[in-house]
Amino acid sequence: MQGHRIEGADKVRGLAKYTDDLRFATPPLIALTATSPVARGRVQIDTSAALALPGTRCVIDHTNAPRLKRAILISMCEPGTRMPLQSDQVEYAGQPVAIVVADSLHAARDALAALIVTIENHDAPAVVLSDAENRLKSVRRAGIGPGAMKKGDADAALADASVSAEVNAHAAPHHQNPMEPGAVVARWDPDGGVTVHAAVQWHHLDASMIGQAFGLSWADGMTGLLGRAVLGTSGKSKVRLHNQLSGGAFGRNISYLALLLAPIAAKVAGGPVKLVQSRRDTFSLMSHRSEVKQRLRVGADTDGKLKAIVLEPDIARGNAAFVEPIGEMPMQLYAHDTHRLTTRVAKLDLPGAGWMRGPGVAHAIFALEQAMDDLARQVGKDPLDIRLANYSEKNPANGKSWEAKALLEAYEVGAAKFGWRDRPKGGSVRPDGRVSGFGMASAIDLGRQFPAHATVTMTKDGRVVVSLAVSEMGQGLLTGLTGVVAEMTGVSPDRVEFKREATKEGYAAGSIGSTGTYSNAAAVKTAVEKIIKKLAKAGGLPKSSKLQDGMLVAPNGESAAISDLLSRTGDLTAKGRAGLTFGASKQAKASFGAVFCEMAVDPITLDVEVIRLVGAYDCGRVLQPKIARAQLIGAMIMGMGQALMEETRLDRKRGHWTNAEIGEALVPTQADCPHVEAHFVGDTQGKPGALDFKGIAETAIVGVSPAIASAFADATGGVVHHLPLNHAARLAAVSRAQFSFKEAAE
Amino acid sequence: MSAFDITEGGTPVDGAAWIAGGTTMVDLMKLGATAPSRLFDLGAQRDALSGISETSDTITLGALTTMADAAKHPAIRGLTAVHTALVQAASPQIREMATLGGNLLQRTRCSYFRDTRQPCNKRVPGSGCPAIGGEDGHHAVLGGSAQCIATYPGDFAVVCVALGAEITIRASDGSERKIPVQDLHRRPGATPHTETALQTGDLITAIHLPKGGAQSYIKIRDRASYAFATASAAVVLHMDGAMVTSARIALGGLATVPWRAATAEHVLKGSMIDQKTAFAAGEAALQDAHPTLTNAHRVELGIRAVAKAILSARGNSV
Repeated sequence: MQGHRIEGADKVRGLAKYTDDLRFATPPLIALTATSPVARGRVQIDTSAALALPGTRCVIDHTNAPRLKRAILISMCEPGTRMPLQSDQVEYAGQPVAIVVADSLHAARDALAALIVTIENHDAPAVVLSDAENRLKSVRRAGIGPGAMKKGDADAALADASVSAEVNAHAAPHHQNPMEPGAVVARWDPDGGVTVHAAVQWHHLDASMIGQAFGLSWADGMTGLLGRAVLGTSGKSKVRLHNQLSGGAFGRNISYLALLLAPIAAKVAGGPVKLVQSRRDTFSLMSHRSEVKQRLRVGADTDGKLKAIVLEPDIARGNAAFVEPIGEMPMQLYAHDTHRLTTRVAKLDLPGAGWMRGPGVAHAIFALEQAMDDLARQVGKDPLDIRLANYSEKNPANGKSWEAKALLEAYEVGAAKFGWRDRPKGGSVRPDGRVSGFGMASAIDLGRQFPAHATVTMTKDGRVVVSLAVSEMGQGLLTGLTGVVAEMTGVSPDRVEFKREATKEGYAAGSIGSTGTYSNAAAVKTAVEKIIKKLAKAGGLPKSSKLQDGMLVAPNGESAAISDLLSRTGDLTAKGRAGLTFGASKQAKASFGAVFCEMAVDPITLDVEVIRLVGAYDCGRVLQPKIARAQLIGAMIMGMGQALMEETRLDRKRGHWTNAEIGEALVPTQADCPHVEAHFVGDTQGKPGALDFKGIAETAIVGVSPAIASAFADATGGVVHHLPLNHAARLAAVSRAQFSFKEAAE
Repeated sequence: MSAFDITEGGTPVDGAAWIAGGTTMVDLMKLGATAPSRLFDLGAQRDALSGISETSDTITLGALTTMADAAKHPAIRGLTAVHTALVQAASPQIREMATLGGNLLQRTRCSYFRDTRQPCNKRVPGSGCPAIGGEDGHHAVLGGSAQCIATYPGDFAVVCVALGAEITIRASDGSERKIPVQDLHRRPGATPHTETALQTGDLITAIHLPKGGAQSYIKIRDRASYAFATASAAVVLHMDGAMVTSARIALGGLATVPWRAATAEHVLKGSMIDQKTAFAAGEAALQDAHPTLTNAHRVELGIRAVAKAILSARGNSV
């Protein structure tokens, strides 16, 4: 069991069911989405040819789609007031303008090809920040993070600093692109409710989006959602959302448009419909990581100790409320005296941006770490030493102590495993003629617990049944939580059953921000503790007793078999809740890490190869080392993709994503993957009786892109502040005279 | 994908096409970027048109030989540039399916061509070219026209041009002719939808690769596998000691067709190779480039690809 995903065997055998694999007694009709080729204008659709095809059931556009109400959630990537198919206004390229519903996928494709979509009067869009100067507005909040912050007089401290560095970082937008393109099945029920099958990351949240949009009962609205989240009430919900497995998600499968388009199609078609997304569709019907510019200035004393951090991000926002939370974490990584954050946001003519692994922090730490490297160069310190010099025992932003922080150990272990202190000089020539570079960076990801309500039942026949609507996207949450439950209840993991697929199960924290496992585990723990009390009462044992190996064991060693106790009490059920800790907790919570990179650069072509990535991470308690390590390594490779190749390009005139295909939106291949090591540091066992979990995957994408940029600078002397560090960026940073001729002269 | 017929016998007429490995054709049909009414499957001719033979100065490959089979053949391993181009193309899975003849005819990866919601003179003649003045970061800096700047994406054809390779073409009437690969592809000009010198019903049956010369193929791309060249260069040198007696240079990823860089060849002829001459030849190869703000870096990248290929070819000559 240890180390193996519960759903793993089914996945490798092809037996695991994704939404598109589901079979129903009444086979659904197939729906496809027509999207706008341009970003601005008014749409007109000639449906006659499509409707004349024998397999076409209906075509839905703004003229005949059901009227939807606005849906406001806390995910922020929901469409808000911009519900699909409600008007002829086109606000971004790739916006859904029609749905065709047909008897089969082939018929639907023919119908889609037969639609004549005309966009009238399309004026010039603004889809990149450089075209949107006049749209930038200062903000107090940037999504879930702060937009403006101040500690002391940072500008004065910067002016007075002995040493200063300025980084103007730019990061291109890109998409999450998990394996599964995705499909959503919807069926309207006789009671006016709707049953939806879809891969989601947060069942109850997205059920509420559907409920709000279609104006179903209060239980599906914001009141109902808050009731479920805060009180654990269920209400009479009319949205029945079922979620089996996701073929990856990385933040993409939250509040996406197909969750509304499929019910729209089912309503108009008058029967169950499966809406299938093409890969191209996913680029605009789902979210992306937005473009960000950052002007970051830091001031330090002659030892490189930070006196001031001044961060001024400009962030692109699309047609959703979501804003990349850039300003949240950079102020929490290093000790410093003063800081100022001033954020501007520009609403662009793009699809809604949204969550992608390491939201905000992956971009933000790139800029901060480049500045730290610059300071290190200026004060003549090793990059590791300047980070050690700025280590902060407490959270530098609010002075709170950390729940746990093993960043120093991460530096030490990472450096030792990598051989950082004994590395060759940057720029030295390798046996194959290429040039070596070495870089490192710190990683941080704040943790926060989200509400969850679990119902746990221990049955007379020795099973533990947990009702909690958690999402399994491949990250191993199901296996992790099953292990937690097995440990708490003293039963074997194969006797633990998770009822998690439907919204009729308990309100769970979403699989977001590497918070799912510990938030949901906290709810389960509370429930199990209640059961223990009941069992203890039945057995006349103290409440402090523990469940171990089928026994309830008192601190004095006295024990009773759980089966005996349950045969007296009958099945025992208890509810447990986890609350929101959103900055309100006494201690600060974050995962930390340090990542080290060795790179080889061809002096003539500037081709780069990442040779080694070594990371050491404090992710708190590690219950499933194999799964946790796989998460870390996967995220490090994702960070390498962010560093070197991931970008979705835009046509600035027409406003569309141009490389909206999996063959053109590059992610690392196996051939790109270096030697990758991920080590755990800190208290990986946890304190007895405590959960002590922290986030895993999000932390490990952070720090990789700056470590890679640092290694490139170390090899070539060329400082790149643009992500990805593609050939254009590398060539701009390194001239032939500076590097190629000098180094290549054997 | 729209409905089509498929047949094993016969020869394509207008609106129809041959299909061999199908790795480009099926992809484009699924996107709707091409919609032949009928496909003529070459499967039955596979045995007759596959295989590799050699004489003292030429290696002849049947056009239906897969890229994978060609790459593992001992004769091909002797042609460094050919071998490199083959093993760096696409992915191992695709190379098992794709044929050499089909690979020469690889269609462009221009995103406007592939996205049927966008205008494209190549796909719909006269509809316009939004790549010009649009997102042209990967478009041609050589050989473009006011109608089209789509890049020829392949690797093997670039090496064929540098080698001076020829192809045998069988016409629908059964007659055969030989042309240089260099004459196969057409610059877009005013007719970007006409991409090659092939007539309807023509079939490439064989590829003839001259042996000899110190050679190299350098492919610069955005990731280590399964990516088209951002810039590539194939170089074949004939040396007398350290001096270049003749050179042939071709560029890939930068031009609308596999691009012969004759000016650069003249720079090298009679010179000793060092970094300076290698870069001088690179600059000559790109001197006629028409870059834009967004693809200007690819001129420098092309120069570097040529320089690297020249230096590598010299290294391979030892």
